[in-house]
Amino acid sequence: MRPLLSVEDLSIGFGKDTPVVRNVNFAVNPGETLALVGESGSGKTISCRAVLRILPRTARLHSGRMILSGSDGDLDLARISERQMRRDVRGNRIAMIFQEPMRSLSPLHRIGNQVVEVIHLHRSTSEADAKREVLECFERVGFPDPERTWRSYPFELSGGMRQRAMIAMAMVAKPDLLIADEPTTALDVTTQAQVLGLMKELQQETGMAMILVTHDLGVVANMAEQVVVMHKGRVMEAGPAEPILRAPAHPYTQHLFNAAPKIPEAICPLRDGTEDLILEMRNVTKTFTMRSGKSWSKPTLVRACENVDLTLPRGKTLAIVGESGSGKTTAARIALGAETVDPGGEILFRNAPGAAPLKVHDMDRARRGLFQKQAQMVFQDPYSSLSPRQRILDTLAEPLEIHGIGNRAEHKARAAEMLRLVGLPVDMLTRFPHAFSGGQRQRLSIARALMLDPKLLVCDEPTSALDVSVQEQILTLLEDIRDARQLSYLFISHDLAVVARIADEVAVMRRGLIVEQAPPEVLFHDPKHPYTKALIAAQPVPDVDRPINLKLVAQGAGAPESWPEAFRFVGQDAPPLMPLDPGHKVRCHV
Amino acid sequence: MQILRYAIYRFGTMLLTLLLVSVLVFFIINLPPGDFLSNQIAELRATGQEAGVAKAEFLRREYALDKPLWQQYFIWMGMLPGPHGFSGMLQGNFGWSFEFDRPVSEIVGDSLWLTVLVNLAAVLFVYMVALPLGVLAAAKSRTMIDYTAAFIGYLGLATPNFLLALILFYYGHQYLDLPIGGLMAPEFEGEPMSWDKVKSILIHLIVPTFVIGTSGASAMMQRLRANMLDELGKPYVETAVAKGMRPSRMLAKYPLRVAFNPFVADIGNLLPAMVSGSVLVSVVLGLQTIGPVLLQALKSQDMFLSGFVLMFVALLTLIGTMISDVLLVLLDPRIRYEGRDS
Repeated sequence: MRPLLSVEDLSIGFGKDTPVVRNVNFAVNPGETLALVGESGSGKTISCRAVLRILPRTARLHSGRMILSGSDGDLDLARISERQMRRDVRGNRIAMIFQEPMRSLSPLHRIGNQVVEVIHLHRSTSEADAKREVLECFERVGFPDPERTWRSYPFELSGGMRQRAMIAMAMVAKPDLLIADEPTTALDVTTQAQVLGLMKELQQETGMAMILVTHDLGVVANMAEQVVVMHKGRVMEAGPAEPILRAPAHPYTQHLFNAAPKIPEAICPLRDGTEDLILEMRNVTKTFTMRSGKSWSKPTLVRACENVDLTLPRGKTLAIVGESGSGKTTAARIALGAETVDPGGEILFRNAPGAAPLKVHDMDRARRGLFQKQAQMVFQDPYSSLSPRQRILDTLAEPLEIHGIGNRAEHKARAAEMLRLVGLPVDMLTRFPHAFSGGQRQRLSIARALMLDPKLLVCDEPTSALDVSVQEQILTLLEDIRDARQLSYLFISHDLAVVARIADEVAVMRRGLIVEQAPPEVLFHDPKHPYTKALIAAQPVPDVDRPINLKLVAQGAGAPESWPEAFRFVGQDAPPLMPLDPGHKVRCHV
Repeated sequence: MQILRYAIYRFGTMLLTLLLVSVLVFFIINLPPGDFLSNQIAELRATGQEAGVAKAEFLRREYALDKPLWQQYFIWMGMLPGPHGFSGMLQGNFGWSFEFDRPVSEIVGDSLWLTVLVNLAAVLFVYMVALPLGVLAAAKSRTMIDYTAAFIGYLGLATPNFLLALILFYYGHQYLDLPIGGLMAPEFEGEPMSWDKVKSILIHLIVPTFVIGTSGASAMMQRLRANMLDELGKPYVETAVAKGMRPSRMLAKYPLRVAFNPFVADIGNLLPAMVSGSVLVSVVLGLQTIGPVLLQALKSQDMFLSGFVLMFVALLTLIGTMISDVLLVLLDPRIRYEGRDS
């Protein structure tokens, strides 16, 4: 078969530096999906953007041919004029969707306007016909009310819906090739499953080819026929997806596979019941009042957490898993005393075994200071959680300064010790954060949290901004530190696979409610709640034999009315959280 | 409909603010010890002109200056009956200028409209210059075009306005035969409006507009450029390029729309800055605007006159902010739909 697009010997560089993409070759056949896989800095995004020549202004195409074949002859996309690129290729024969649906649509224009523009740019169609086409497209990508979508602004839609709008925008001109640059990375896992399903369906219907840029081997296994693995601007391994996924030949591909978090296989024995609890949350409810923009309408109440009961034994890891809006971060903030709770809730913290509990929900200034020394936080985004204007030493010493501990020399000694602990060279103390990679920054963030020698660490999605292989290292580091220093973790994540590895106990949250709670092995192999089942089913795994089960996802991630009888709400009230087996609680009617 | 409701609401808050401002203004003009008349009386007594004193005393009673301050305020505003019943700002009686011995409305009458005219022209100039230059500088950032625009802009910012005025007058007169000083040819002053008078005013406006507008224009150009550069890095711009849009059209439709917000929000600041900023220029250029009048009135503690001028400037400011707020709501759906369920 003649490929639709074949890229040969592509090299791209910035200025006079060594090229960031070197002699890359790949080809996409009509109707097939090619996955460009790699970690950040691998050059996968630059390569796919080069096809449409949407590159940063300083980037230079050093060499390469990009042949797009068509019924009326071939085009070399590296050579054609800018005008022809605009008129015939961009948005017409090749469409593109981007990673961040939140920011890839103009906030000030209606969705309909932004989508119909594509038709008007490439064809002369009457206003009414174009609108009809767009509405059909909206319906096809799963908008229940296309007319309403036409009139909506992007900020009125959820992330998944915006990505559907982006897909509609790409599909409306019926392109031969769709380039999707990490299209689902910013989405929740159940939404990701549905969007991937939609893309696959559309592809089967229209017969278009797809280039899927991703870092996630699980997504590759679910979507691609061909795979190109890239690393530092070079192609490491290329070929049909199935053999590569079954038996990766190149060491780098194997490395990627090993780093990918996996769902645990064996069922471990249940842990013993000796309960020395470092943290206890009892009946915690948090209601936020959303003030509407108009002063005369009533404010709405949002329950971020509802009757949350959690216990964290000393030296263990308790994970809270949920999608955006599930209340998991609110729960973590409450545990740290950063958020007040509604009356009736209690958070108890025990500094040492048998010590008198400290009431986190009701602390005076002095006790708060003491508590803050015991409980620290590691944040999600290592890029924004370190001040770019402070040297590492100052960043690390700041907690000590705030609590008035030690002098300058002691600060330095302590900071050096912590750097060694997290596996960074000590001579980095005088540098600024911009000199560090994402993984190194997250190590710094951990080092800062450890400066005060806390007993409890709250980790809020500490690895979700990192590459898989770096994620692996950070998780290992967190595990090592926990065991070496007898730390206890409250671990917040949206990623079940990450949690499966590090947690002793997992609580699954949905819209402020814990729906199921169990040790990870039990949760993965015997999930009871439809929402938990949906989360597990939606997780893309790098295994061609285990595709995403969209039916399970749709059912569990949908409204509670679509759940089986035993899990449904009675009116507004959720069923109680029932202990089914020892250590396995499910929100259901028995 | 929502917008109309918002505009009405915004108008209401503007009136309230204006009321507060009137209290402040009244307080401020009464801050210096004494008033125009008591100063005059003291002076007359010192020089032994008893006849004048009687007249001044009469004026004091006439304008209720012998009453307590809070009563003076309400009488000034027209909320309490004075010696002549309800006759204050609310009734359209702006008081008496002791300095010029004429009613305030007569003194400011013409210059009020000329002030509005000059400043409106300057604002238009600012926007017409800053908009294309700012966009161009951003779209061609780090090229000669960008640097040239920045150079001219900084030159405009750094040159003192009065100096620029003198230079422009000189060269404008020498090469383009532009008139020097004033806002109209002397023969039209006090004449009713006619086509020739309008023409004369327009020609006289050229240099003042340029002088008052340059610094504002270059500041705004730099702001717009910075905003545009921010927006150009955003993913939605990339999306638009990937659709196959022409760069010029893409720029105008997407990033400019977003970068326009602060531009519009500036209207509120621009108006008062120009009125007060143009005082010096007006003095130098001999413009019959309200600026020199204000300066004179403040110097001689001519309280009703200065009070009125300050109120007028405040009104301009408030109208400016109101316009920019309503425009923002029109322009930006995110503001418009705040609080609406998604």
